[in-house]
Amino acid sequence: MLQLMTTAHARKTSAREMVSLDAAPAGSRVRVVEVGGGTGLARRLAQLNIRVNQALTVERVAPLGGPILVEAAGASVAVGRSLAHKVKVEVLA
Amino acid sequence: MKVALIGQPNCGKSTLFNAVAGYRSATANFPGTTVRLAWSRVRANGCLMELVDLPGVYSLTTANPAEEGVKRFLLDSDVDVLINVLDASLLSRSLELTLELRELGLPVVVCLNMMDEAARKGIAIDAEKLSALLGLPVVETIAARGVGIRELFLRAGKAQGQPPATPESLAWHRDVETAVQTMERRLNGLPGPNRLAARFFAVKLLEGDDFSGQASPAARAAARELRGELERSHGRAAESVIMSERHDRSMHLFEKAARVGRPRPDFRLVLDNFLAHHVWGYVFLLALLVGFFYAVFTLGAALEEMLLGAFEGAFARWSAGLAAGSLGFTVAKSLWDGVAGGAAVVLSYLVPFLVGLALLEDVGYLPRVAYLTDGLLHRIGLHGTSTLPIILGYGCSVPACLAVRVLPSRRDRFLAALLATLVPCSARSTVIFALVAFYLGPGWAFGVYAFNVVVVIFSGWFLTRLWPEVSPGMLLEVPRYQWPIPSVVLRKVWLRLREFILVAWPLLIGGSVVLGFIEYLGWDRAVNAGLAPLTGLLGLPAVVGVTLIFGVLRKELSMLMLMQALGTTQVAAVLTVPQILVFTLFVTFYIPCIATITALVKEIGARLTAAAVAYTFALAIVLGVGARFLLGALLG
Repeated sequence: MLQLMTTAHARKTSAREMVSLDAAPAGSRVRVVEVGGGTGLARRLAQLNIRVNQALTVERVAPLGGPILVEAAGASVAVGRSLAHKVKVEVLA
Repeated sequence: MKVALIGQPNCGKSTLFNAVAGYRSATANFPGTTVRLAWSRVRANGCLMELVDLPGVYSLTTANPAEEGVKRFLLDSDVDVLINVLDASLLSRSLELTLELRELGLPVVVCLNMMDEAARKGIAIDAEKLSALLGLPVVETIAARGVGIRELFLRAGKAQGQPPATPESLAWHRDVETAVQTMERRLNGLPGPNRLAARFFAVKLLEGDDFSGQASPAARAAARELRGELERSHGRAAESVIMSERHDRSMHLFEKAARVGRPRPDFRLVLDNFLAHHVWGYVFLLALLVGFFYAVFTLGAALEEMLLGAFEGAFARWSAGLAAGSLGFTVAKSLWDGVAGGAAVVLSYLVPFLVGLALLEDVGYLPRVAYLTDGLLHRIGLHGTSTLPIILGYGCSVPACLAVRVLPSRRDRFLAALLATLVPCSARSTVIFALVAFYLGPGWAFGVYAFNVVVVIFSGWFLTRLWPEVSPGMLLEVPRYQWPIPSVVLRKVWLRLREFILVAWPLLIGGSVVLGFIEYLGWDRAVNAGLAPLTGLLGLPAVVGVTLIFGVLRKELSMLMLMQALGTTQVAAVLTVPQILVFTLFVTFYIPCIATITALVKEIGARLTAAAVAYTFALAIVLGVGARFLLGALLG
């Protein structure tokens, strides 16, 4: 029984797959796993607290391919879809 | 003594500046940059200070014009004390800039601003502890309510000549610290006279940024070597290693000096459920824009009528002694037309527009507009941050062109500035209303506006194909909503108005006088003959020629002079329907006015301005000729 539970738990954690930020649903809580796109972009994102290991809340997603509004360490930041695509996150809840 | 305010965007720096500077402040371009710095003389606690408000920056890297401006200021000015303004509700993030400023070796006073917002978020900060940990004086303020400002400047006065010491708690990890110290030794002294600490330049070189632009080849080689070592041992880029050091230190400081409790309920957080909603957000935006322009137009028209009446009465009394048709009368009349045109026709619309815009800006609505329109603008190769200049373009192209500096890439600045000049500004709107709406009906005027939007979209689509670039995409902090502060709003309006009063108005008056002379001397006939090929091509009467030249000075001059040149205000009796439309379209699109060209040169440079002028001229001719034949065929 205990073994079953642990495998179920293991399956659950591995099911936390990596998605790009633009694919995270509105209202979800995510954690940044990887920031691609070169150090210039990584720096600009890090200035706004979007960096590896930072937890973010996806507040809303603009229509028509518009930006993703995320909350990072207390501040709201609009991240364009193409930039968001370069940020890989895991969905926490 | 010289004091500079420095901080991240939206930290309340300008509110603080305004609280002490009032209306005596001035703005000036810092040498070698396009960034305007506001400065003012301030008497604080019996000590005369020269206070400079630097543009908001997230860090001391140089990736956009605002950061370039701050860099030149730090390198070239003789600033005595830096006041680092922080949004206390975003303490951990803001401290990263504070840590970078400490490395400069200049005296720094930390201003924990927006303490009320921090309290609302449940963040309690122990300022004394933070001060001890940072080794810098820390003052708590609420600039919007004037709290703590006296104390802040008292501390700034005391800080002069007292550079920060490095407390133990801020030491970096040993291997990074060793790399920094090695780099510092291998700088071999600093180029020229320099007041900034060697450590700062050493850290910047390790981040791959030759901050002074004058590092010796040996120092650059050493930086490459040390960066390589850091990259190998940490498995990521050296600049990322150093940013992590600052991030770790600021998190550490935050944990030691602040406690996070329960936030208080805040109605502003639910406001965006409506204002940034995927349906209601757009409905509200559209209603707001329509309401805004309607309000500006109604208010402006009422003011214009009142002022024009007053000016005409005044001129009649003033010129009573001059014989009509004499040179004296011609000069007096054209001089007066320029003065009255500026006051009645332009200021009437400009003042309500600028007040409304400053309110929207101060409340914090414009970043939401950028958020909502980003998706649409992507289809024409731009992004949401470009909306702001284009919206400003409906008021006046000059502030619109000045607003493009927030855009990160040169190509985006060019595109946004060019598209903003294509949008009918209030001067061109006057032409559309007075010619098209008045003689042909409001439906046609609406058609001109709609057609203009189509042309702007097409131009964006077309130009992005001529100058393709993977747009870096939008990255914009969306600040909290806040109540507008009247003094800040008024100062913004005044600073923008001053540009018109000092630059554009004298031009309007000068242009008017020159036209008066030209007509008096009969030279207008020669000009019209010279422009006959153009007017012929557009199917317009030759007398229109001279008015088109003067439209370059001010677009509304074209219309006023059209009536003058035709010798009648009954335009419809002299021009056909297609001719009125062709004239309006041509005036709307061809070469931006001289004030706009000046602003363009300042923001995007002479070469790109020449390209923009050539494009608008070609566009106006193509559209004018196209409209001539198409409308001619349709309307006979």
